[in-house]
Amino acid sequence: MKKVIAMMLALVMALSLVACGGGGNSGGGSGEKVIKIGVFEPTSGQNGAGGKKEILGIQYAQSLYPTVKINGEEYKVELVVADNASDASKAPSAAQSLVSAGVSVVVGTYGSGCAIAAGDIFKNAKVPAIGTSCTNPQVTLGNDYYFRISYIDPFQGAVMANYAYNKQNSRNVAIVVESGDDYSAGFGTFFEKEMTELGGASKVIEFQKGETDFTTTMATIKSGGYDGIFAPVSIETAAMIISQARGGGFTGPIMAGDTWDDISIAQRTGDKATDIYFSAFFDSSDASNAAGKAFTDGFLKWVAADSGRTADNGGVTDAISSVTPCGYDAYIAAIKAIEAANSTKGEDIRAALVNLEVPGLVTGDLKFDANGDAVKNYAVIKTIKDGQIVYHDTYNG
Amino acid sequence: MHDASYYIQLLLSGVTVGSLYALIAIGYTMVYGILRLINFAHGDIFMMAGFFMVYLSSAVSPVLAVPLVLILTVVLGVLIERVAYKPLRTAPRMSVMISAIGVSYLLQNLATYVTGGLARAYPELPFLKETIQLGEISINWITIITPVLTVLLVVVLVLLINHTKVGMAMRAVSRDFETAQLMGVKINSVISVTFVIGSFLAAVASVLYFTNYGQVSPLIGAMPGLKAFVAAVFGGIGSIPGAVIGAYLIGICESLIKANETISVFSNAFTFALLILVLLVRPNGLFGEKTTEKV
Repeated sequence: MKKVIAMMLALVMALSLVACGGGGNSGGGSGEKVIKIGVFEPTSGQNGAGGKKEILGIQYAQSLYPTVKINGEEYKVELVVADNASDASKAPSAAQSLVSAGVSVVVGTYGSGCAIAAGDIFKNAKVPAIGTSCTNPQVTLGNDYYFRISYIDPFQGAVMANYAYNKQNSRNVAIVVESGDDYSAGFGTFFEKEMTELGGASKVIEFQKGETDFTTTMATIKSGGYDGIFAPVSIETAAMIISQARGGGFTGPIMAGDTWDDISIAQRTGDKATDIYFSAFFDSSDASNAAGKAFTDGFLKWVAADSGRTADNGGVTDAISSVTPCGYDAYIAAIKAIEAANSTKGEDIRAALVNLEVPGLVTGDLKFDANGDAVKNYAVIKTIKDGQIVYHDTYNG
Repeated sequence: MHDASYYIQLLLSGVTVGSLYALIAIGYTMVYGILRLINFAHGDIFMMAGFFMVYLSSAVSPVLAVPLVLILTVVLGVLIERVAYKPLRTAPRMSVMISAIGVSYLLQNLATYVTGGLARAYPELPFLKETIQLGEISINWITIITPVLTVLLVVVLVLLINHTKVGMAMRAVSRDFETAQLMGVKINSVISVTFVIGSFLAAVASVLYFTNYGQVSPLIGAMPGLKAFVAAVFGGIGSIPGAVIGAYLIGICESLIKANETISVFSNAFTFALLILVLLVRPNGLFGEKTTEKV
């Protein structure tokens, strides 16, 4: 009897697996031509909240541009999503699953560590990838198949160091970074370099992945005479650093980079989120950006129309993270490149991306340099006020 | 450059972290003492208790939710024992351990599936997070309450084990499983009580821990679970005072290491290096039971 039950259970499990696999194929049956675009993003793990916001941008772009013309024929765009779980060790298999699914081009990811880990898979499979908010220079360096929409960390590091030195008068900054994380450690180094050039002092304090207790670190920072914290860390860690720094009595400015442009940080830290400053790609209240205005209005309506989308947007329908337009722009760039290449083959799309120019995107005009990085010299600095992320300053370098 | 209040602050936060490790470590050490099983799912029970609180507090007030969380976690712990460990009572020890690893992954993935893989804000309990100023030191109430509550719970537990009938049965079972059974000790109920106590303490730890750090995520149980396990081994697995002292030592050492800007990154490395060292020099830990070779 027991054996029979065990067999039945095994059978049910096997069947449920088959059922899971079958779910993905529903779109292609009607005979219309389909081109697949891979979405390589974290939907779980410590950057899951950011990945979901980028996917929203991509999905919104798809809702506006659901088809693409190749050789006069209309192709329907199908998005294939793979979760890299914010983990560089899981990223290659997620990337491989996209390649196996036969995608023509990939957009993503949030988090440089995952992008670097997956770079070779895309390169070897000759599938071009368009990075959204992965800002470490290593993502595109030496990889002809990785392009990028956002600015990069040497630029962002300089922006924040200048801001800390000139606007916050910080002269001795504690740089709190996650050991072994390409984004965090890399960004911290660029900040430190620029700070030294400006004549200020700084000290890198590393912590291990998964750390939750920063009370002693914050006590040291407070007692050690530091007048600012620079913490380019993940969304989950950010909330803990803020609340424990303020709980421990540190009153100086806490600064960071693009990852902190996420409403969940403000939601989790409450009244402790004071004197927080971080650089970002985009601000929805910037009136000079016409494309940004149109995007903001359309996107917020689109998000409010569906409760699942609202949940992915952090439960709000009146705020946009600056990584969302990165997802949007990356999708548009992918579509334009496919049309310019007039082909569904990865190699042709890559060749088209090299010379691609798209004016008037949400995060500015798009053109790639020799490394495949977008040429950018514009960043906004945002702050948290009364539980909302608000515009603070603009940097034009 | 640092004044005395700074070192007091370091010590205090070390004691708080150590207390939380201690509460989790007791669950490991008791289950090991009785079943000779390292319950790998224990850290995840701690995580699940955190999520119970997150979901319950949306229905009832956080203060009311706390006792419900304790009950639910105890039910979960006993349920896991009944479903995943009891049927394997006569199986080789390795099978039970693999079952425990399976439960651990099941809970992690279940939590990832249900929550969507993102961290959730932990509900705030009144007054626990309020900061008080003692001279130069600023601490919140939870830093004070955690060690006091931990010591209180440990004292109650030790009294329970040494002076009650259930405690005597537990000691008997941990000494010799089969003989205790022959003497009429109801093995299954003793094991259930062990899991009740272990899960209860894990739930208490989870309330204190997540209130302190503000958020719960599906994989958050792994690290504190592992550290508590090291504490249990360090103190001598199977011994409750050993686990508690081991946990405090690890908590304070980690706190001191993290206080130094240059070596702070090695705090985890220290914990696990300590595990290796203890296993090499004193395999039975500080207060471990002496195993006499029987021929």
